[in-house]
Order: sequence, then C-alpha cells, then structure tokens
Amino acid sequence: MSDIDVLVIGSGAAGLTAAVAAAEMGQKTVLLTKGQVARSGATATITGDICVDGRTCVDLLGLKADHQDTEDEFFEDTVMGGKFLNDQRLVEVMISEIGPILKRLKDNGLRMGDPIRGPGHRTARGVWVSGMELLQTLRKLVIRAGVKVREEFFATDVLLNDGVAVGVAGIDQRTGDILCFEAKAIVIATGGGMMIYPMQTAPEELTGDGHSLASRAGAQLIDMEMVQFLPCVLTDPPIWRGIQFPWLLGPQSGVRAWLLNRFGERFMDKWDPVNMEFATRDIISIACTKEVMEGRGGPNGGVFLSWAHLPSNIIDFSAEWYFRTHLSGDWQWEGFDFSNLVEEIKNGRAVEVNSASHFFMGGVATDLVGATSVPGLFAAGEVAGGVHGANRLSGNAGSQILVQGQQAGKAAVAYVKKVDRRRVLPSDWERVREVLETPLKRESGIMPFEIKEELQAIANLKVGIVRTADSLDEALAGVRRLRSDVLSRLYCRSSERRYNKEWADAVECRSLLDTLEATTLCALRRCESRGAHYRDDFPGQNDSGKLWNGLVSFSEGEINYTTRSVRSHRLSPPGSANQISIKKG
Amino acid sequence: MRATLMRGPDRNGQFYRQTFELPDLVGLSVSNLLQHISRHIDGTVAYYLSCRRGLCAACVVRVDGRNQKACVIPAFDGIVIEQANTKLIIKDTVIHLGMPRKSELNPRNCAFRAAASDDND
Repeated sequence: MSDIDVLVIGSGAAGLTAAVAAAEMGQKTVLLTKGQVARSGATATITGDICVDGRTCVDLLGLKADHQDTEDEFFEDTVMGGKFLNDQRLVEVMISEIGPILKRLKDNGLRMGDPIRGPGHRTARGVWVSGMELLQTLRKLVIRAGVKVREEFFATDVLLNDGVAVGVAGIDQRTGDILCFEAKAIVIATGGGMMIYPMQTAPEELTGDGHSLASRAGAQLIDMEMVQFLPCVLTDPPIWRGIQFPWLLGPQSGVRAWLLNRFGERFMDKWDPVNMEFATRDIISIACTKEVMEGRGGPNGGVFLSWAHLPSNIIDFSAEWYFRTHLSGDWQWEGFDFSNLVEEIKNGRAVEVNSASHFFMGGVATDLVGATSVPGLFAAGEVAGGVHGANRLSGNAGSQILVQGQQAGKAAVAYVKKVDRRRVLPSDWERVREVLETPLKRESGIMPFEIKEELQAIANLKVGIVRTADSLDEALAGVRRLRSDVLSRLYCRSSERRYNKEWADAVECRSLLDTLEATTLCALRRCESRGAHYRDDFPGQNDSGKLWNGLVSFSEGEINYTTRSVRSHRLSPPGSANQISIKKG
Repeated sequence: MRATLMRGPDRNGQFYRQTFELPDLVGLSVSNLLQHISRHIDGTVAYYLSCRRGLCAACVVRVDGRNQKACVIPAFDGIVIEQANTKLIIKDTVIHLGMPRKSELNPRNCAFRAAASDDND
C-alpha cells in the first residue's frame, strides 16, 4: 500500500519542521531518519543562538534586545557576512519568517534566553536556545501531528519516473531489509557533509547523504566550495577532539583571548587588525592554518589560544553570563568536565587549538520555497545551499533550518495537491537494490573505514582551509581514483544485514565521495578567495565582474560545472556600480 | 588492553558476552573503543554514535554498574560494557530512545522490499 503524500528524510530541526508543516496541512506524512529522533543530527549540537532581528525579539518574543534593529539591518549583516554570494531572496525569507516560528515553539514550551551578539552581527540577535530542547519540542509536535517515522533508516536513493521524484529507497538498519517507499513529494533535510574531513564539530552521521542522493537524482548543487570551519577547537586528548570549548571561552563569548603562534606572536593583526580574534570564523581559520603551514604551529598541528594576559577572575565572569544555561559553576560543559583545563588556563597555560569542519554553506540548489530542479524533490536546512553565501554568521543556521523546513513542508503540500501519484519502476528498484547489496556479497576487497580515512586525508590536505589549483587537481585525481578503483571493491566482512555498521559505512563512502568531488570541483573553479574559500594562489577577492555562484550536476557518470549570476536584488558589493545601499522592497 | 561486551540478541534470541583483545586505547572514549572493535575486528558489533560530546545521550551504556554516555567516558583495560536498558535493546549496546511506538511507520507501507531473511541462511 503506497499512499504517502510527503516523505521527509532527516530528523534535525529542518526535517521535523517540514514534517510537522505537511502533516498539519492534512497530508499523509512520513519521516525517515538515519539516527533516532531527537538523538541525532547537528541540531542537537546547538548550544546557543538562533538569530532574529532585535525588534522582533522585543515585540514578538518578549526578549531583551535592541528595538532599533530591524529586518533590514539583519539582512545587510547576513549578506555582507556572506561576501555577497548569498541568494538574497532566500535571506529575505529566512529573516522574515523566523520570528513567528520561534514564537510558536516558545508557546509550546521551548525555553529561550535573551539574545547574544555573535561575530558579524552589529547587535545581539542570537536568541539563546538549547538544541536538544528544540528537538524535544519539535518531537512533541511531530507526534501530535500524526507523522509516521522510521528510525535508523538510511535513505540512499531517490527514484524517478519520467524525471519526477516518486520514491525513496534505503536500508532499514534495525531489520536489515532494503525498502522502497513511494511518495508524491520528497523533502531532503539530511544536513551537511562535514564528515568528508577528519575533524568535525558535527555529529557522526553528517556524511553528505542528501547531497549525494539529490545530485544522483539530477538536482544541482550550489557553491559547494563554501565549507565553514570552526576555529579554536580542542585536538588533544582524543576524547576532546573537535570540542569547541576554547572557542566558547574566548571569542564566542566576547572574552579577549589571544591567538598565538609557537613563538608567542599574536598573528591576527596580519588578517584583521581591527577585530583581531573577534574576526569572523572564516578569517580566523585561514589565519591559523597559514601560521601552521608556514612552520609556526604547535606539536598537534594547531596554534595556541591564551588567556594569560587576563586576570583569572575575568575568566570566571564568562561562566556567569555567557554559559548561564549550559555551564554549571564547576565548568561542566556538554558531557565533559573542563574544570582542570580552566584551572590550567587561569594559571597562564595556552591551549593548542585547531579548526574543525563545522557547516556547509553550499548544498542542494533550490528556489525560494525549497524546490530543487527535479519535480517533486525539495531540500531544506543545511543540505540546501545558497542562503549564507560564502560565510555563515553565528546563529543564522538555526534560523535557516527552521524557516526552510517550514517552507519546504508547505511547498511539498502545494505540489502534492496538483500532481497525480506515480509509481516507482520495478527495474529502477532492482538496480538500486543490487548496488546496495553488492558490498555484502563480495567475498573480499577493501574495507569501508579505510576508504573513509583515505578520503578524509585527501580532503584535509588538499581541499582544506587553504587551497591551491595544484592541491585541488591532486584531490580531484585522488577522488576519481577512489571512485573508479575502490568503490567497486568495497566489501563487508559479514553478510549479516541487521544493524551491520560496516554496510552503512560502505554506502556512506559513496555519499562522501560525491560530496567531496563536488566540493573539490567548485573550489578549483573559483579562482579567487571569498569568505570561507581561500585560494593561496588567488588570495584576493575579485569584485571586478558580476558575482556568480557555481553549480554542479552529475549526469551519466559525468560531473558538470556551470555558473549563474548571484540573485542580488537588494544589496550590491562595495566597488560595484551600486555602492552599499538598502533598496527597500 | 581487553574489553568485554554484552552482545545480542543473536539469531536465536540469545545474549552473550564477548571479550576482545585491543591495542592500547588510552585517551580515547568508550565510543571510540566500540567503533574500533566494529571497524577493525568485527563489523557486526552495533554501536550508536552521533554527537560525540554527551548531548544526544543515545550512546548510553552500562559501565561499572552505572548508565553513562559512551562518548564522554574514557576507555580502560578490563572494561565491561553492557546495555543501558535490557527492555529497549535493538542490537548489542544500541537501544531505542526515539519515537513512541504509535508513531512508528509500518514497513508494510513500502512499495518494494528485499527482506534480510531472504539472503541469510
């Protein structure tokens, strides 16, 4: 029996919001998620801010904020932060829709703290929310709306009929079955592809599955070179790998910690002498990486963050205000006890810090409401690209995922109402099933985790924070070698299907390869430095011509790259024909 | 170092203990240890790992008689890792903490199905 109207893939805030929107409009809605609901996805790791303009914070949410700050200023900061690469229509929607969504969540019991000011925002807009509490609130709404959910279901393929998305296939990990569901509309909300890099702030399941399945179905990916790295995360001991505690105790909370190289030199003045360590995250990550590349790094390949010039009681203040809802007085933060580390910091010891992959600004290209170029296929949240341009400001991810989830859910419903149900072709199902089963049936070959590690090493060394044409050419060759020589030799040591992690690893290798290839190609073709994309061979930003976005598509095994003009109807970059000016309307 | 896992249910519905000989994993988390076993020794060892920082709490296991999040506690020699809740077991240390039963999608809603049992002995 196939009577599903809207099928959503992913259970972060974007997926849950999309499912709620569709189900509340009376559509039979199903949600598939690789993890467990409210126990997975990058939303869980939000320990902070969801941005709303100050006026809306005050008038609608009853929070303490700057009433002079309107949607116009929020828009301008977001586009300037994105280095003018943003799709400005998507920015407008995000900014105008986030207030009412947060209001509804507040009415449903979500706790909110007064906004904080993140780097790049001219005033405090980051409404304080716990990601886990947000997920719990959305989970309640999903249950109430009657959405049916299949958890630990790894959606791997979107199936088409005559160019229209009509179904989703994947592995039901708990039973080991391969299943295919038919639906009239499909919303992809699978998050970013941070796992292409060896160190991430993002959860384990963010392997670019949505980028892969959307692009294999014919959808375009936009600006995939724009990967945000979070500076100042821990590398050692390994249990703390990727944890952003130093960042939070420093620049994020507005505390004047200093970045130093191994010689004790403060180096941010070379990059942003005004803001120094309060520069946006893209600039800090590039600066730190350059210090290390030029031989001034620490033993673990990082640089140092130091609070030694500050009186120790200044550090204690940050616990009182910034961390108020997330840090107890004894420096327990997230799941870890940082009291010893803070004691060392107060005694003057610098902490070696590194940058970790944090967020994908690029992703599946969509229109205003989340429709991709494939009829019936929508994308929402981090998997969708374009709204943040070349760099995302702190707190704008929370706004994006909620707004785009709702937009895509509603758009999917509007689409469902005007199309007839079509079937998945049995021959397509057979083809997908066979590909998925292959690693289980091979008797020998290469183990999936080895490919994951090799691919992450390529991404880290050649498509990392600092890139050159040579490094990107090498990466592309490496990725294509893995695809042609290795993907076809992946095997699982056990043919047991039920909850076989090695099988999931094998399928994730394809997601990671597709995502890394698109990222690499986009990075190679953008011969300038802009936002998070830094080319050592083209260190300047090129504003001489019309600004453009890069678009990647896969067809018949070939990867194609095209460009389009940036959708910038309101704000133009400085130096262009139109100086910065807000055109209302 | 050595680690012992409570595993199951196997195909006969039985639970059993299995001890693994491991390299020195000092400084790593219990989640890292489970991942090491699954990747390097036995790919059928199921484990749940998402946020790696004690937030999602779905990696919870029973160690030293207490339920603890595997991603934030250190591995040690002689560790015994058991399920945090025997009523919610999916496989090995993975337990169900997600949606209530009434929200679960019946897999019969699918259009096509290749059942695991078709291929396993």
